[in-house]
Amino acid sequence: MPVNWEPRIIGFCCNWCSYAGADLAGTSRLEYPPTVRVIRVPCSGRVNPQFIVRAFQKGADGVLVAGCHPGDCHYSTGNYFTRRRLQVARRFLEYLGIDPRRLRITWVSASEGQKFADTVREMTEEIRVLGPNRVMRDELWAAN
Amino acid sequence: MGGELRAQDAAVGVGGQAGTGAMSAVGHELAEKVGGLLAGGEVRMFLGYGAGRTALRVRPRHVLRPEGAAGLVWNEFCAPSLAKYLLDEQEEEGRVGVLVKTCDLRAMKRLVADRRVDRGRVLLVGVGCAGVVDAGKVEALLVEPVVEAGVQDGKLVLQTRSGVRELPREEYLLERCLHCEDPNPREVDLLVGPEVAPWAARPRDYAEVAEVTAMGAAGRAAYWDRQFARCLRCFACRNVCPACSCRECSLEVWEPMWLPREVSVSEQYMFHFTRAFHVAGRCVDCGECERVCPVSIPLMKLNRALQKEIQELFGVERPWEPEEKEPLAMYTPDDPDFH
Repeated sequence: MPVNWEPRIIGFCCNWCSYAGADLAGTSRLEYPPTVRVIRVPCSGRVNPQFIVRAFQKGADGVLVAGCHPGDCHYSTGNYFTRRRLQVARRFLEYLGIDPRRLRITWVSASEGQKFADTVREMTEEIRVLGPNRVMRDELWAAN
Repeated sequence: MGGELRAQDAAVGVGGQAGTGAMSAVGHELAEKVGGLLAGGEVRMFLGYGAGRTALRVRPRHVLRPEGAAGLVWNEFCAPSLAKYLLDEQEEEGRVGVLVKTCDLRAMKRLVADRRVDRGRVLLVGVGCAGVVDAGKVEALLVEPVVEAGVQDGKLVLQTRSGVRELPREEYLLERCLHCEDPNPREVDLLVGPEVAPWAARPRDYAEVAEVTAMGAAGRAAYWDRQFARCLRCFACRNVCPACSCRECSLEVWEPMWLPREVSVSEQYMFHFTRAFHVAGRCVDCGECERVCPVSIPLMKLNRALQKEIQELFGVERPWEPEEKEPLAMYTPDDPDFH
């Protein structure tokens, strides 16, 4: 384990719920580890599974995908497709050697700031135990 | 026509017309029927097999003129699926004839379901198939090139310069043949040759997937590192796949560049993840990708893993059937959720 190593998590947050949820966590002054880099997407359905692979390639130790609760999608059905697609992608990444604890897909509504903070905290703790991710990682990023 | 056919037989010999004599009779019938189709203008071209580099290999043959039909062969080594060559024939008017085995028919259904091939402009010539020999397996065993090859009484008879080798045919068939449920293609426009008696197809299981799963996360990563490190990025797996028929492939566009041109193990993960995931729920389980891979990457272990997941999650058993909706292009409100 490298000295002073902190997990790096990429969080894909849907614009309509989870990004607002993450924002609420901040405006409510909830404390959670500064390990997540949030990338805002129009919908969780925008998250091409290749995004997740690319995040792991470029040095992420964990990936979080957060979208609206099923039934609450701003685009009516986007997250239903996400649910199928990422359910399969998650198992497949596991099959390729990614520890399932490194990839989390969850539903966070705009009012669930606490849930967002808790999710990031839990993930950070789990990944801290696992250590840096090595699977799929580009050699350029292997130094840390 | 008749004289040409005999000339062709002489040229091909035992190598081309392998087996029981029934096969060579099918070769005759095929050449005659194809010659007739071309002469009558029913098809403007026919896709079949011609003699290949060695006795164990055939190559796809495009026949444009009736007299060219004499060069067609049909034998135990006709492994390649010809369906995908139809993609190059969509621009020109007129029907194209193509020789199909049962497994190729699945590829055909996939291309039609994806609206990449117009079924009305294809004439499917079906042929009963008693199972195809995995040439790669045989070549791995023998040092010398095979001069002549055939099947006699269930044995694979191979003539090399230093003598004759006999191998149990059953052990050298392609994996897909062991699971073949019906050796006679249905829903074709024309049949050549006699019906082939079906054999006890082994039920498909996911043993090879379970093997990989049992390695544990670290073991699996090490395993795939080893497999992917060999990849040459030749794209043969993508090119041969009937479910991979985009006009523009995301692996080849420059903007955005999903797959950089550098060859590193990390990028091979991107390549193989993408290839497998793009055919998830659409793979017809033909195994062509693995068959053509020049470095023997177990690609079907990827495809099968996805099949297994989709089967367990959404209950889709036979994704190649046109009535099956693509499992990743649909949803139900009560799909299983993440936990």
